[in-house]
Amino acid sequence: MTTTATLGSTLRSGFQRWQFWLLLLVLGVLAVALVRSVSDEDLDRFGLGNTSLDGYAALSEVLEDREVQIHPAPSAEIARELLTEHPGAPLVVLSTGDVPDDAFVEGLRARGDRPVVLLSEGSELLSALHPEGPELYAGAHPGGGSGSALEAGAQCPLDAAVNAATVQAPGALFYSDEPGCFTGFSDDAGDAQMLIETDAGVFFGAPAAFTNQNITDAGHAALALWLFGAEDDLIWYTPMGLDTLDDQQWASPMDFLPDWVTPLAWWLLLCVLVMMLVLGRRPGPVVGEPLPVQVPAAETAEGRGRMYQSANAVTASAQTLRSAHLIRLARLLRLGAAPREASIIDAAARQVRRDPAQLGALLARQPRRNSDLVAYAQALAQLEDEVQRAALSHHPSGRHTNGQQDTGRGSGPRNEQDPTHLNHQQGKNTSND
Amino acid sequence: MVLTRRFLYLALVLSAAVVVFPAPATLLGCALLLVLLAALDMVLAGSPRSVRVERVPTTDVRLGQPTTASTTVHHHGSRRLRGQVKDGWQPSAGARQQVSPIQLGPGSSSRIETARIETALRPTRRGDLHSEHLSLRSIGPLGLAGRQVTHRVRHTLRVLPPFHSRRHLPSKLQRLRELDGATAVQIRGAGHEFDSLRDYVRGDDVRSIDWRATARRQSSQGQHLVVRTWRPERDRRVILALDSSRTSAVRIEDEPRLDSGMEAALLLGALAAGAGDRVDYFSFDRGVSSQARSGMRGDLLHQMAEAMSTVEPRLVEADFSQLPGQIRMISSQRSLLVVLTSLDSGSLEEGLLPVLPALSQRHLVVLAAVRDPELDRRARARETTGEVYRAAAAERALIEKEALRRQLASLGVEVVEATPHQLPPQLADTYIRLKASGRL
Repeated sequence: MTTTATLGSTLRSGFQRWQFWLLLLVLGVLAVALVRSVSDEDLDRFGLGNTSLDGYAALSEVLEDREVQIHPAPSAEIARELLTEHPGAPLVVLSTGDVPDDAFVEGLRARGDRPVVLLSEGSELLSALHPEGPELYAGAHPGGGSGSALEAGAQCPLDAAVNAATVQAPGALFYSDEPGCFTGFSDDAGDAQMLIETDAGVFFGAPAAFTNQNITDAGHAALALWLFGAEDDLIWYTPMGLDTLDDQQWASPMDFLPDWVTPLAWWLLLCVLVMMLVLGRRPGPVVGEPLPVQVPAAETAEGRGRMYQSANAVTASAQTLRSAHLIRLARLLRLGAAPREASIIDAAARQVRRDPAQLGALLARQPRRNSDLVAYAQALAQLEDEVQRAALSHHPSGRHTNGQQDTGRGSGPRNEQDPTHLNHQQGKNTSND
Repeated sequence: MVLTRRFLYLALVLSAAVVVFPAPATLLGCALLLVLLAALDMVLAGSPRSVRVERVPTTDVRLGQPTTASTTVHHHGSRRLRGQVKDGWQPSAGARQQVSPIQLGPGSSSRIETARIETALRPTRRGDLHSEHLSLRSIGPLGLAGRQVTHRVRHTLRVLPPFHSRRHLPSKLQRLRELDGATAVQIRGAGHEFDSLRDYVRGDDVRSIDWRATARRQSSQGQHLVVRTWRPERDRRVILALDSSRTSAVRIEDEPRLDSGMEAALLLGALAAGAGDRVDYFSFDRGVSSQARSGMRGDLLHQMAEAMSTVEPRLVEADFSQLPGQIRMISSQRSLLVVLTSLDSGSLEEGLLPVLPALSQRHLVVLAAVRDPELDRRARARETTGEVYRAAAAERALIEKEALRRQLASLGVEVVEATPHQLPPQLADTYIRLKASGRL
């Protein structure tokens, strides 16, 4: 028994002693886990690391298994660097709404024998490639359903498409002067095709075909491997909104700052952390204060008053006020312990020299509305004031005289007076006996 | 682990190095330097564990009076100990300076260095106040970092009720002395002690003239009437019963009902003890929560104050049924029983009224209660509809109180009801009056 208690207290004191370091350790582990989870997460549509239905994780895994090194380029600047680094590597430009800048498109036209695959399910990328030419976008191709599968077609010049044979995915169709593959429909303007050849490279209108969801359907896997798996390196460029501007158009304000600003900022950040540690360390544990119970006075009266008001208890309130004033009048007029109402009214009327019938009518008033009640309450208070004033003027030295006048009036008033007064009075009375 | 401001300033100074050599290596180097210095300083600091904390017992203090609490720190570590201590007094102890510097030389097994820490206190609450721990922070020789340990050694300060009504005591005692000899007490009956003879002065009751003594004192100068004087009985019993149940938690004006009751009980206790009566005090809710009696060793006033100091209102209904038994245990003879409670119809009708007949048959019962001036103020406000309804509610409460007073008076109970500041002197006056009229 005692051993466990000792062990428990040892553990507890040990925990208290190492509390800070344990907390630091737990926080550190949490921070690392958070950073990892945040950096690992790729939620972009058609993102190479995205493992959800609209991601490309399966494709990138398979390509890596086949020893194709994918070099992702999130900006035009990096893409350019990668292009010079790997002169023969195929380039994929995947557009999800944003298009590369003009200089980059020019670079695509002058690509030499580098294979280029352009992926987009909208018209923006194609419009950027042919800013002056006629509208090449033919319309959207609905996905799903057995009828929506597109055949490569006899005129198809691309080995990749011929080997893939069919495509069954939502995407865009384009007109082209040159023969393309996967014809959706034909009309006056020509064949609307999903895969066409342009002067900037092969243009494929259904990037959704290569997602984790669709890669195993129709000939998508074959098409992907033919298009992307030809060489050991693959440059994967996804244009973003801001990198359409090149170096000359947009210089970072960071470039104008001296070298030491960034390290200093980091150092000052560290200093702030140190400051938190220095100022945040308490000189001792927090001390509590045991507070005693305390209840505000007049709480019941307040509650009852609100209840009267919410219930509009006019009659009950008037009755209460009336009784209270009658009791007080009886005491003021020294009428003994339990006088009759009529005698109180009589005595009060005599005191203030008013008609008893009038006072009786005042007291018998029965208010029906709130305004009546207020008037009634004020009238009662006024009457009491008058009686009190009259009583004071009749006995010039006030209530605190004792006296010869009072002695004949019974024992009632004496008990109602305050004890100090009573004390004198009793003392004197006894000495006079 | 503790880092000091000096450590922060050093880190800020090192930012100059970062500016001069702007490279990641500099950052790393500076950080490493800081960590090394802090670690070194922490290791070199005297161990805050190698001390023994001894609390010096405090003396009781009245609420509102300043005092000092002392703690002795015995150091037996081999390294110099320099830093700060913080005494963990609860806020209501009113510690003026909680953190104080400390410096202790190296001690050894044979030689122990000792330092005394004084904390000035001005308590703002009655009762037992505690400091549960003493935190010791030891800073290294470089003044950059250190170690901190909290020693859990309890320190206690007992704060007694303030007894503000003490200022009434001289005048009331004077009144008692006047009763004692100067005035003749006229009510004849058993138990009035003969005190002395003195010359007749005008106003004395002629019935108190002692004719034998007058005859003995006849001289040539003329007539000397001699009167007997009586003094009030001594060695009566006064029992003060303080209600510490839920009704005593009510705050009236700026103090709880319980504290007003304590003030009244202290004044009456001091007065009665001064008049030579025997005073017993106890507070009760479900049972007796504190107790003091004048038969015990030492000053009654101090004993009462000490017994009261730790009484706090409890949110339970008072058990008045135990009152007769408790009083029988204290005294079998007729006594003055003062019950300090509230004129609250609910708790009194259920609890006190059933036992009152038995009590008032054997003893003289006085019921002292605090009157809430707020009720009178509310009853007088009649401007708006809301005020009138509140006035009606207040009047209703006053009527109930009045009815209760009458009921108590019919049972032969004296009722003293006054505002918090008026209650102690009025209760004392009631006692003097009862004593003067020989009703004790």
